[in-house]
Amino acid sequence: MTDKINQIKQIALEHIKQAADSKALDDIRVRFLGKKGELTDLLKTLGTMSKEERPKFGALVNETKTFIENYLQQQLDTLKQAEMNKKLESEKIDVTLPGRIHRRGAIHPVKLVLDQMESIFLGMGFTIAQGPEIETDFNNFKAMNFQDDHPARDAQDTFYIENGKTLFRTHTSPVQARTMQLNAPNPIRVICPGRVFRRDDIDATHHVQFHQVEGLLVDKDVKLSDLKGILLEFVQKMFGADMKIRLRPSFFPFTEPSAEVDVSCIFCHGDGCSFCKQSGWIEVLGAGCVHPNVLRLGGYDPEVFSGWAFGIGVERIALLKYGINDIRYLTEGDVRFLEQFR
Amino acid sequence: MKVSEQWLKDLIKTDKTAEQIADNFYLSGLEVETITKTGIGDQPVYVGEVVEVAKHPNADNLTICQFDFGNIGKRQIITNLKNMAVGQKMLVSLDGAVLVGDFKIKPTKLKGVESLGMIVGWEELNVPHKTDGAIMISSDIPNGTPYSELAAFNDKVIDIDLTANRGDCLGMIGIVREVKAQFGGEVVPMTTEYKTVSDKVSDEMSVEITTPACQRYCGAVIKNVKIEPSPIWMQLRLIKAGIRPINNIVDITNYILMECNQPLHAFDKDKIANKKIIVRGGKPGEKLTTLDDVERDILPDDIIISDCNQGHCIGGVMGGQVSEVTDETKNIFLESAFFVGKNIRRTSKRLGLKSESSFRFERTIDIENCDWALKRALYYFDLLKVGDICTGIIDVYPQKFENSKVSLTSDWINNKLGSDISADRMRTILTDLGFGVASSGSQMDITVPSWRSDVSIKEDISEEVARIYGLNNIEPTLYPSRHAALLTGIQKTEVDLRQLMYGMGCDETLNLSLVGDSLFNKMQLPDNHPYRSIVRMEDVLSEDLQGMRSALIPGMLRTLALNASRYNKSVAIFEVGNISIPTKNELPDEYLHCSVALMGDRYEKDHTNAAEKFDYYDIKGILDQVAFKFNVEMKYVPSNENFLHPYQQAKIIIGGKESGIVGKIHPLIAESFGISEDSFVCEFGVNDLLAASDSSFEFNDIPKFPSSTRDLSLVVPNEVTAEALLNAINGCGIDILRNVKIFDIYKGGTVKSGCYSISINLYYNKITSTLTDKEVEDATNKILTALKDKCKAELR
Repeated sequence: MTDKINQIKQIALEHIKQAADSKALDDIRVRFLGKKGELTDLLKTLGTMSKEERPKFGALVNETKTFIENYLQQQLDTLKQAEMNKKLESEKIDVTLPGRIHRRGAIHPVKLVLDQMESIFLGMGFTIAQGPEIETDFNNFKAMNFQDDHPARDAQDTFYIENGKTLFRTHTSPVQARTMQLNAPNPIRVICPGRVFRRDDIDATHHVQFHQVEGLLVDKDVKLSDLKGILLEFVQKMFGADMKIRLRPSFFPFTEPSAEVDVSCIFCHGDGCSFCKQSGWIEVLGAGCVHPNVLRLGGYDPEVFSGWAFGIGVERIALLKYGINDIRYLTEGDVRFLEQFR
Repeated sequence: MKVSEQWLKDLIKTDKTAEQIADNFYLSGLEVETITKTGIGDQPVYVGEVVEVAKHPNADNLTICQFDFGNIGKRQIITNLKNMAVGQKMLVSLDGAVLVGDFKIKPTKLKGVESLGMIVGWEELNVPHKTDGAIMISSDIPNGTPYSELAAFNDKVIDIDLTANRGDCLGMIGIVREVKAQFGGEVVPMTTEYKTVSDKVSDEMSVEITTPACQRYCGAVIKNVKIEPSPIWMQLRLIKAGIRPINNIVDITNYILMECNQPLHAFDKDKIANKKIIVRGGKPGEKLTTLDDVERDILPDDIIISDCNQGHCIGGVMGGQVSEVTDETKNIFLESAFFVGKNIRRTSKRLGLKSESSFRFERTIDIENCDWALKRALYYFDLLKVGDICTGIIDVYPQKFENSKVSLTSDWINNKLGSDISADRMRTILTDLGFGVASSGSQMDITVPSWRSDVSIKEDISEEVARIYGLNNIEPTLYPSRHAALLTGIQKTEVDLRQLMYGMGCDETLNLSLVGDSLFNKMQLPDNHPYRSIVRMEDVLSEDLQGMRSALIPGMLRTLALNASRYNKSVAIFEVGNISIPTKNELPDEYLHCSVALMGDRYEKDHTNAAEKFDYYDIKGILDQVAFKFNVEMKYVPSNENFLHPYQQAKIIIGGKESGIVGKIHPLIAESFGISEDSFVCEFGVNDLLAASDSSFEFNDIPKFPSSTRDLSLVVPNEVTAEALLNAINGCGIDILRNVKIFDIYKGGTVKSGCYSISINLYYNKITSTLTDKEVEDATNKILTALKDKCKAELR
């Protein structure tokens, strides 16, 4: 009987070895180890054996069963591993191909700059004030201390409206007037971003529509040096910690003293390059102490209150910062332009 | 203002270079634009006299001239200049001269005849003056004089872009004052001495002023004038200042303009009736023919220099033809007046006549300077021997100018600037600038000089001190905030909306705000369409740019058209921006709107996906997301915009208020914009979004018990909308119904005509316990009944 067992064992091992897939191994399991399998059949002959032989024989059969079982399982694992490898291999892809596009919209470069400016000034406690794009001559000019028939008006070629008394605002300064009229006599600390309009022939460097950010601080004992401090902080947050500012006296009807503010050239950081014509500076904004007439018209007593204001052209900074060579790109909405800012 | 270094240094002794002066000016409020060199340096260019003229044997257009150059000798020069005559003197470049543009002069043969040099014009000597002729030299200059000894050809010109308040620097005397204040230096006195004849000016002319727009009028008479070119040095200074030399009389008036900042005007005295000038306002219906031969309509606001019969000159703006100084003029009357800037500005703007004179009057000239400048002019009349100067001048000055006074303390200035400048330093700065300063301790009583009409208040004084002291010498300080800054509701809504749009793949545009009829016509908008109601500009730029937009969609279409014309295949753009609706009030109402436009491919074909085109549900989906994000109810009701597809459009109702429109662009309208792809637009009010937005938000617990779903396939009449079905379902008020989803729409086939099939998934769940079958069945039956009653919907 022992021979018989060994024979079965040999045959089973031979089959297991040659099994090509897990299905074949399942068949082998049924044939040798199943309820009606060859080894199980052998156990049925136990009854014909002597009392002494039975345990030995039983043990031998079980031992063989376990052996085959283990071997089969071992073989099954190997095969499954191979099958899995094959399956994985069939799923090989070029992982360097571009991924499926999930398009995000582009932030307009002017808005990129505006958002950055707003966040810097919000951080310094400036709230945001807004005003209408169509304004009265009073708010746009008179409240800003522009005299009638004064050459200062020439600098701002204006789109007047048919009635002649209202206009497309030429700067965001009228929001100063509105904010003062609204808040007097409380202190003011605001920036006023917005769209402004000036008559011009549109070409690569000229446009009729752009954005400005106006800043206004009105309080007691506000000094010109405070303006310098806030502007320096702004410029360093906006363009880099090593940036410097330079003030050049200038003239705006609504500030006195007035200054043009230069910033270290954003390309050479002040070393001098072809962009800044070796000067190391670029002109970025206008500023000054609020003119007493403007304070008075806004409802503040200039003997008690003082303040300063500044105005920045946003397009100019966007053009500089991103090296955009044609201002018309900013309004025409060509997606090949916009998508670069996604 | 163009400042010649050489001229400046004639008026003030300073060792500073043009560059040093320019650098300081730049940082003290006089914005220097450029420094330009003139002249060609030390070159063999000499005064030559024509001693013989002959025709060229081989060329009709050439002349052979023999020139005498004094010690240098004689040279033969061939020229194509006309009217060469013996006795003329002019500048000639000889062998070895290097002219502008590295042009070298050497002996050469022209059509077989030798030429040893070239007659030069201004431009060849690097002086910015365009002429085709020679530079003629007066007969008293010796032959052979080098050009560089003749006058300051070799010079530097500082070009300053003056701000509107600094009219005082539009003359050399103003520039001298600035140099003095900034660098010190000795100012050279300017003489006004001249010889006169015994004739008295009072016998020759009188002046009466009847308009308040003329506040001072000075005049002089010069008889027996000889009109000829002015000397080269004077011509050269004018040219460097940007003024064209004409003749001795005009050149002297312009020279005084540039030197003393006082516009002058010369009249042919004999054309003035009754020896009397009347300075008056214009008369109703009056006309005057100006020097340029144009008949001008005159208004009462204009200043007219007239005699008893007629107007002769529009004061400060342009002279008239009648009394123009011509070659026949014998006697001249010379005017030096102060006209009020506002009148001059209005007249000059209205007539479109801008001149160096009107430019200065507009900025207010120095009224105290009129008589002195006139005398300075007479000094030049004498120097140039133009004619016989009558004794005395006329000076009608009804109300003597009073200087502004400003009183302040040095502490006030320091407090204003945040600086620490000593009272002494301030005094020096102001005194150098010509201010009178009476002071004791920190108190300063300041008299503003007559030429500084821009200075009248304390702040102006602080600026004068600051600009000379140097704004950059003031240390920065910070004025900290006492409050936190926060965005307002509408600002936050705008930011959130923009972020949402970026997230949904829309690129942000900032369209041109200006719109116009050509755009509306392309959209085939009816005449009374609200889009056409815009705030119009007085002076439109073009048919496309006439006024401020009253909606964003027209501009969006313009942008889509641009993208279509550039073959951009996939366009998804949005704008959040202002629109203006005209009202009966002074100002229009402005609202913040948002518009989205989609065109062409939603997805361009690649290895991961097939190409997909945008359809209506893309733009609708964007609106649905907006409604979700801001927690508002958006509803859609039928609309009939001509420019949209008749069956793919709807009005957008936000929180019960009509707020905008959504739809597909009508194919014919798209075609008129050159758009061939399906395109979709929407627009709504951001204010409406904010007003309807429900910011109270409460979290719904996640289901812990098993849920149950039912799919209903319904047949519904075509006119019943999905919104109606959903309203019917939601109207049942079933609390276990947690979600309703439409997952299929089907038309045709076995669905009976006039109806469509719609499949709806109902999702039930209970937070507190497991649903029973009965609960789900009851709920579903209730829904089916409601759908049948309200929407005539039948189960398929």
